[in-house]
Amino acid sequence: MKLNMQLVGRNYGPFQYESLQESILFFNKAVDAPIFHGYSETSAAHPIYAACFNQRPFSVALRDPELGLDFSRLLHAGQSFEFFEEIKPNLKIVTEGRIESIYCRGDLEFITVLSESRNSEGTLLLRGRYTGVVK
Amino acid sequence: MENTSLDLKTGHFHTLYKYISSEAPTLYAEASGDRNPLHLDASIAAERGMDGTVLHGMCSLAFMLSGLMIILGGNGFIKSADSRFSAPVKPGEVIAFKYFLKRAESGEFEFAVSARNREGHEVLKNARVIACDRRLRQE
Repeated sequence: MKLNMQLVGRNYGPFQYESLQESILFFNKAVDAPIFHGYSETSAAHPIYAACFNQRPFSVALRDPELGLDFSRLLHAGQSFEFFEEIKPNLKIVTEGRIESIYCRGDLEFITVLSESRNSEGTLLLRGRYTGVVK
Repeated sequence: MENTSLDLKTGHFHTLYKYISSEAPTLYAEASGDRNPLHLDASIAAERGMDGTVLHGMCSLAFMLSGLMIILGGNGFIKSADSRFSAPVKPGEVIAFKYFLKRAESGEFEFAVSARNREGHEVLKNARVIACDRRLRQE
């Protein structure tokens, strides 16, 4: 085990983000989000637009110098999301995350980061769980 | 695109194909802010044992959900999505997304999804999505 297990439970954030209409439109086009009658192109973001802000604690945790990660050996191995509200333009979003687990399976090391994003009223918008594998 | 009603029944099966363009990793990197060079720089990817750049796993997940959004129509709302990224997706590949509706009850739909490239390699594993009718959420 090369990753520092003592970092399990460490928090990252809060990180601020604003869901600008232009960034939603650009993201939706990049991932071929369908557009339906009655909805404008920017009325709601594609669910994975969440990656623009909810992924931040995962990215920062992996670069935590105390973690001891060789970034060149890391792969994003899995992902789960729970979506509670649609992301609309001009939301002020706050994201916080923590290292949920670090474990070994065979020769591989895994790290999971749980990340939650809320609007300015504190309403939970979505929860993401990010799994990285170190080969 | 039409707003179809969510008149889907358990056992519903749908296949959609997605061509991964050479621009897809760059577009996703610009849109998401994830500029990991593994996805953008072939020489860095080669250092990490890859045969050229690979698509972000999250972008594969996004394409999978875009396909499901087409099946659900404008009244669909994605409640949750889970997947393992089991093999790299390379620009130039065509991915077959197969959506199987395992459960449809009380306005909620649970899909099992497989995603394979032309060689038959599974690129998303154990993918599962739960969706619902957005009109029921607003009641």
